[in-house]
Amino acid sequence: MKNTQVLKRKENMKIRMIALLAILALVAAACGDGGEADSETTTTTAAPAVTETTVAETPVEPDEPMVDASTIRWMTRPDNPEEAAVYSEISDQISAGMDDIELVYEPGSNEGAGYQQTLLTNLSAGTAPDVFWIPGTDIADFASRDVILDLREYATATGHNDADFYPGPMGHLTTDVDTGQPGDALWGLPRDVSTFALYINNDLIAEAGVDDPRELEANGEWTWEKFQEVSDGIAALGGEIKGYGQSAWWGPYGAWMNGAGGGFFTADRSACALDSAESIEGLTFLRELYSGDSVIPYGEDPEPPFRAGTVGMFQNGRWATPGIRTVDFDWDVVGLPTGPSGPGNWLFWGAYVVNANTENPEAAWSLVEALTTAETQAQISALGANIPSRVSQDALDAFLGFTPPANNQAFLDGLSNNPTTEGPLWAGSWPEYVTAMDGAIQEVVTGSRDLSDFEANICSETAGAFS
Amino acid sequence: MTTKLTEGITQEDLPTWFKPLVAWRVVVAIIVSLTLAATILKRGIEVEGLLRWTLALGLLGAVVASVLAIRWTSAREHRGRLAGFVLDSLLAVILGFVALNGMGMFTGIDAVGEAFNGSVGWLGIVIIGWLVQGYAARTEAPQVALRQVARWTMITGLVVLLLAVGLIPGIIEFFRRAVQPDVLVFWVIAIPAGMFARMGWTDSAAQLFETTESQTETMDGLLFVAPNALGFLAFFAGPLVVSLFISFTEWDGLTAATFVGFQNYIDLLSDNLFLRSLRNIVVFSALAIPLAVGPALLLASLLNSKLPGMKAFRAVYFLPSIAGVVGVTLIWKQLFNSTVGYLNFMILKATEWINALFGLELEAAQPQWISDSNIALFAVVILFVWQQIGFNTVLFLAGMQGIDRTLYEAAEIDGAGPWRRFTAITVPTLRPTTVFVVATTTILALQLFNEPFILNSPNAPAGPANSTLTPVVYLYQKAFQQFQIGYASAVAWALFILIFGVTLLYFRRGGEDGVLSA
Amino acid sequence: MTTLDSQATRHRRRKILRTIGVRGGAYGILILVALAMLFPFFYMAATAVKTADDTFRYPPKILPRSAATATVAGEEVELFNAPIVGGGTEVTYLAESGIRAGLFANLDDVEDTIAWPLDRATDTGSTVVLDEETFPVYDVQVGDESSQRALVRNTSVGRFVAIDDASVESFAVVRTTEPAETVEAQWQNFGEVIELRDFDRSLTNTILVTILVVAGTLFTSITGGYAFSRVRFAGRDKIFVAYVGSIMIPFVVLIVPLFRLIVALGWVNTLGSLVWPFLFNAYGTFLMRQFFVAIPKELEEAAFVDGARRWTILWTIFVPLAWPAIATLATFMFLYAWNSFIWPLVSINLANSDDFVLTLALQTLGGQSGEGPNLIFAAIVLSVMIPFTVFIMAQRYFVENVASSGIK
Repeated sequence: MKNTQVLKRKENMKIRMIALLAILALVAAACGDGGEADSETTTTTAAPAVTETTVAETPVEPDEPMVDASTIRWMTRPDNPEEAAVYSEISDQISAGMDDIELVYEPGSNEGAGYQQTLLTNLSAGTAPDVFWIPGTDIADFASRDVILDLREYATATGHNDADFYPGPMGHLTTDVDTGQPGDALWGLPRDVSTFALYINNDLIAEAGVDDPRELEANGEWTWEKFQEVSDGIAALGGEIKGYGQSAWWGPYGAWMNGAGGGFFTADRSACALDSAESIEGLTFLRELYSGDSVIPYGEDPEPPFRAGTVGMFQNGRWATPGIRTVDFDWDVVGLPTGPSGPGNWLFWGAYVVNANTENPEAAWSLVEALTTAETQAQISALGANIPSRVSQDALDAFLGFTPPANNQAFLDGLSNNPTTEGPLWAGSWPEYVTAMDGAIQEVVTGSRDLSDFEANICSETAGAFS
Repeated sequence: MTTKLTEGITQEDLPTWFKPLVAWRVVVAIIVSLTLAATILKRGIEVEGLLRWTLALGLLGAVVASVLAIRWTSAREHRGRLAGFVLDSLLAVILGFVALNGMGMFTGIDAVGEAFNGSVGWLGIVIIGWLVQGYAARTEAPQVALRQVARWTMITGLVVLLLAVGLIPGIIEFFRRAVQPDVLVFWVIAIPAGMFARMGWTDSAAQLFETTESQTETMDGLLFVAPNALGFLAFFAGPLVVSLFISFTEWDGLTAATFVGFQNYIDLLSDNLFLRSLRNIVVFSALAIPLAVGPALLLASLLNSKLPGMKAFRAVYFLPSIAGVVGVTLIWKQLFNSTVGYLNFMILKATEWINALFGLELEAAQPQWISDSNIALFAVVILFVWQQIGFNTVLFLAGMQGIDRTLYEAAEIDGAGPWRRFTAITVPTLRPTTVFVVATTTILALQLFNEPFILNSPNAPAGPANSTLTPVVYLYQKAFQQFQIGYASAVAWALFILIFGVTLLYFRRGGEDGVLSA
Repeated sequence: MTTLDSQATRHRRRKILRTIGVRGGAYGILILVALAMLFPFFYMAATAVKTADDTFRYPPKILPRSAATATVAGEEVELFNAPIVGGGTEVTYLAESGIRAGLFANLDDVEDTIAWPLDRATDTGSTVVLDEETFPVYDVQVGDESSQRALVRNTSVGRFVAIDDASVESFAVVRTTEPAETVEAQWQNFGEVIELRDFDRSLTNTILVTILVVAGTLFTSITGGYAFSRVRFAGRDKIFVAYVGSIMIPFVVLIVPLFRLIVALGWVNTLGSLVWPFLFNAYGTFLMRQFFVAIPKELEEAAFVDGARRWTILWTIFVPLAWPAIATLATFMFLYAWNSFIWPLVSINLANSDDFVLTLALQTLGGQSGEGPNLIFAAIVLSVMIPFTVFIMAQRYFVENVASSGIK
């Protein structure tokens, strides 16, 4: 009995030793491998191994040293797989057109999964690409921390002209870090621009028998009051049908404040203007809109119900178009309704900037230029996701030619109807400002905070962002 | 027990490797001193500020030790063996690590990942072989043939798997890289260091230095602890100290850090968002902990019977804690959806049913679970409790199985009903288990991050009007979204103090009942 | 005798009844809780095989459904159960949509309305007041009958034609017309999600990382636990106390410096960063130490007399005996490595899906606008498949030992 046990234990032992050996072997394989895989993959991750040696490595050294100097890595934020595919194709084209530079396109993560955080992590790790896209609101932060390169000298050499692009974004892209005023700097070039419009479900509008917003707009009757009427009329269909929906971030509510003639900041963007009478007027309208039950409750993502066909109007930027195109009801877009002080909107934008640690700034600049030529922009516009940032008729035509939506012009109208340019806070910290503002406005819109209290205190609550 | 193993080794008896050993000790002292000099003079070693001086201090200690080791070794003092052994092992491990890292060994998994993706099927064969073999061994009459077949299947599968993930090219590549000059330098020192360390461990070394048995045991102990302790130092204790240091600086992770003393901690006290996160986590814990522990205790006592089917229930309850928080949270995100989600639909149906049954006209509540700032935190509570309750049930069940059955029988004879037995016997005897369960649940609750982070979007992880902002979410925002690494570290330490205090409180009270006596 | 007997019987019967009541109640509670635990998983499995539209349906339905179709005049059309004139419904298809129509109310009951095309109604010119509002009155031609009704508001309808009799037609608001559906699982969702984001790569990456973490942690914990329990050396107990104390330190305290360390070592964006720092586990060492301490001294002393070294003793005597503890630790580490999220989120570049692990892939998919929940749920199913399989096979270690070792 005892003998068999001992035997069995020995037996088990043998197996265990084999298993252990196998695991160790696997580890060895894991560690030593690379040569074979190097040859079959082109990913940069396998590469840094050989040369990224020893203690002599500084934390802030830019990219993987094995990538040779003429390789330029770049990254942008595509919001859907189709867009990622287009950028990948464009990268190949540009790469083919450049003699001694090889481009590596790294599809950035989408917004919902944290493009921003990936970029910041890689910047502090020193592994960020040579050229990358950032939202317009981040320019000041990146420039003042010397994370991105002032491209003016390279731009002058290639004959670049600032006036080829919309002036709003270029104002921020040329701002001097020290003075906070537009100056001689050049932080990058805008990838594209966008404005808000209302995506509308024509089937629901017809079923509810309300006025068609497109006709109202054509007749110049598309006002906040009419908008409210249409929204209520659609919601009167009952059940889960709602008239309107917006996402809970600064863009949508900001657009209503802009429409009332207010805004987040004073004209020179040096102080808070959330308590101005106009801003409060915009918020008052929103608060009333949300106090009824004709809209998707604030904070709920309105895109799924819109796509499910249960929301009449959905406020979003051009970037939502590729996703909306898969719905099976009749849809279009219409401009935002005109506010008490006239039309109001945003001019959203983001820019390609160059990593301050790049080893090849000239090549990086030429990539930035190549990515923003009229042809490239036309090509991207043809996908329908973006409005060209270059003031170019070719690119605009390509944009307009992409249907549905039939009423693409609504987005372009947004550009000319006195939009407020999205932008950073050169005199303070935009992220801090947004964090403080966002929570307070959410409380106001959902009715859990008094407007008078908001008006009295909001500018002192957000003052920390300007210190 | 400090008997010497041998006595009276004369000069002639000295082994041939004694002289090289002394020479090696000198070499080691020189190498360590040079490294120290390089550190101080900033030659080739790129570390910043305080870290440099910490490193220098450590190296200074090593210099002293290595010089002393020369003396002790040449005098054949028994301390020489231990000091030499420790120095050589450390040198071998550290330089070996640097060399391996230089060769890309540690990042090589990525390449394996690619090959592994294509050959994972072989792993399945290994597992099947293992299972069949286990089955064959467990049957009444061991099925020798089947077992052999299964074993060889398993071994073949393993070999093929290793070949498929590139064992052979891997090994070739390993040696190719090992002889690269910038790596070879380290091997040239690390390999002899390792050999001398091995030699110091032999019996003949023990004889030479007239070492006591307890010293040999100390060396054994160090050797066994080493794999764990070195990694622990490098990846836990070291970063911990650095973290504390960072918390006293203002640092954006890109430019140099400035020392600001306690400023971060002072700022925390008046930081509305941080205070909000504390308030949230306290409210959350106050709800989630009782709900995750109380019902678990009740369920465990129901399961602790000999009725049929209890094992199945136990398994079902355990499922949520296995499924992984990301997947589970995404499922609940959909259930919580206020317009098309099941939760609100069920509330609606339940209300209709109650209305029909009692002739009432109640209106069904349709909360916006995720987007209403007054409710979002409760949604997280529900999710947390759902995931945690089964795990706690199983912990309680284990505690109950240690309770003497006769206690229950005696109580039953005395006429105590099930509820009375539960309150009079189960609850008091389970106190140590309860303290343990409450403590682990608390630690988990205070570190809440995944659930709110995934329920909301990564760009706004704080939830509607900061209602699900937890300290860890705040830390993440500061450290990885807002360039405020020093401040984030202060948040981390504040949270640590909170967790430490609460845990201490629990165990103070639980300790009386012998929880820590193990 | 008989009275006593019957009393005893009654007593016994009452007792039995009470037992049944108690047990029934217990089972009731247990089943309810079990349903609450299982429902999200049922929902997951069902949603994973739905069509994207089906996931947004309200009221929600558990089973996956898709529209029933038929071929009419060479074209595939979706079928509806449209109400027909004269009552009842008919299987129809939508022949025409967007027809301008009116919502006509019964003159006696404003709630009783029908939606009918405006070109099948004629304005009578008169008006009627219903609920204090004035509406125009129309002659509405429904089928063969014509009736006077009030036009409440405009709307639009579709024309539905019966699938087997083209002469039967009807008008109804398309949105509220019940579509004919069949229960059908969309198995291709799994294939799609694997295509979409290299999900298979994430899966194998996770397996690889998990294997390495489990194996490595077992090794360091076994040697460390052995040293702390069976080898005496100076400072041992103090180091051990520090180890145990460190269990309390939340991982988040380490995130920032650990990330910097990974940066300095060049391990950012590599799977290695998910493996190497996590092989040295104070909890595992503690667990193994507690188990080894309880093993009788005689066992190893006999081996010492035979001249065995500690290394041999550990692997031939202690490890086989400690199998339950090892299995427990392995299951813990398996769950930990498989499900860890915050660290991969920090150390792996979200732009590079080659280095994704499952948690990251899921999170990215969940954040991707334009992906329906059905694909996300298919991904979740794939990600829980292996833990669940392992759980079913190794339930004993998961449940019994996880529990007991936690308490001891």
